[in-house]
Amino acid sequence: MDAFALWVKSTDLSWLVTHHAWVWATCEALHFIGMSILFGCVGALDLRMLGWWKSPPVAGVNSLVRWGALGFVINMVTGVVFFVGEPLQYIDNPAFRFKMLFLFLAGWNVLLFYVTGVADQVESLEPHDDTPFSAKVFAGTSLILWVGVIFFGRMLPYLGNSF
Amino acid sequence: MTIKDGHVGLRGSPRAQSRKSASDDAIDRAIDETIRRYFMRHEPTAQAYARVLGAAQRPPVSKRGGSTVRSWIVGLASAAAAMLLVNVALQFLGVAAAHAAPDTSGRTSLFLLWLSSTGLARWVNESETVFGYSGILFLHTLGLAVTVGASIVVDLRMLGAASRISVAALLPLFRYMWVGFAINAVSGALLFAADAPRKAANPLFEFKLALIAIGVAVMALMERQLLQAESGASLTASQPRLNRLAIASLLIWAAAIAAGRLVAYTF
Repeated sequence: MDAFALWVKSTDLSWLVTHHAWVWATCEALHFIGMSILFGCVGALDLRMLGWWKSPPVAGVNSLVRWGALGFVINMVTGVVFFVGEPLQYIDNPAFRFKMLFLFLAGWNVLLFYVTGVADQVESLEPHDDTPFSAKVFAGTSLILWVGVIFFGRMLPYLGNSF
Repeated sequence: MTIKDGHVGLRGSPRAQSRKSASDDAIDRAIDETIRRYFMRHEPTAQAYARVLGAAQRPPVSKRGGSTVRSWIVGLASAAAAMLLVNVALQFLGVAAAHAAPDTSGRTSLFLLWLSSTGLARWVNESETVFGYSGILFLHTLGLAVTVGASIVVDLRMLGAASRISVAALLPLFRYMWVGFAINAVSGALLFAADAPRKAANPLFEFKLALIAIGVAVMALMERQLLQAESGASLTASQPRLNRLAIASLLIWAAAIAAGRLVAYTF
């Protein structure tokens, strides 16, 4: 792992990221904007399925998830920029590992939600309809996992030494 | 029907009093114009009334018909442009801040010094546990995600995404926005207290607070417009205004986030 991190650190791209202050600052801003888009759009669907925002039809809120995916792509790209810039401060950071674990679980949660057919099951629900228990489990899990991703992301400088 | 009848009838009806929409204004103007023509030019009453009223009641030509794609492109492009502009502006502000720093550090106000010396501020600063600075910072980030996230959902809907959600159905989201904002006001105050003199000397910090004030004002305006739309007034009248507010909201939150992030890097 350390050999990999050292190799990443030796690339020109890594040099570019760490030797231009604006790259890091701009990516930080974009990373937080992407987070807001992702958390807002995915969280909206979670709230609808948990019954905490029952006024829209599920299909309408579900169509926001593609915007959440846009936020995810923004954050994946900017996140890779951070990692490429300073791989050594992430690779052994426990907060980083937990963040990746939570991201991985959140990804599985999304995949299972669509593969198991629960997504199709709730798609036709009208405003104020109650969702089945399975949908509530997926929604609650999703909310907890994304809050966990934000938590461990925020803890990167405190549980480890990243900035 | 006489002019007077028409005038009194429209102005005095409970419908006209309960909601004052653009078309009601147009009708009022048409009536006034009819009276003016009648007295000034002696046009036949019935003809003048019919022509002016007809012109006023014609449905307004929709400038945005079928152009949601265009408003999307405009919105996204201006968001990107605003990001760039803010970053350039902040670069300059950051340079200005660096020059100003030696001056301000010498004459920090006593209030800020006292604030950062209080037990609460020192506990926030010095606590090694997750309930100290790092945990409060996490709450600040979570509150940001909730407020701006819910805001983005409303903005996207107003700009044409997820059109199956009725506009009135968006209203409960504002509760989450206000809760998120309350979390951030409290956690932000604690974070400020822990580092008051340094934060106060940073012009970026004031810039961020100003942006947040505008962002919250836009949020409140949108909520009011939606409440009016829900209470019966037609949405078509307030739609252009809501569109502008939605674009403003997206740009201001993006700028506030950029400024907030840079506060951490400029001092």
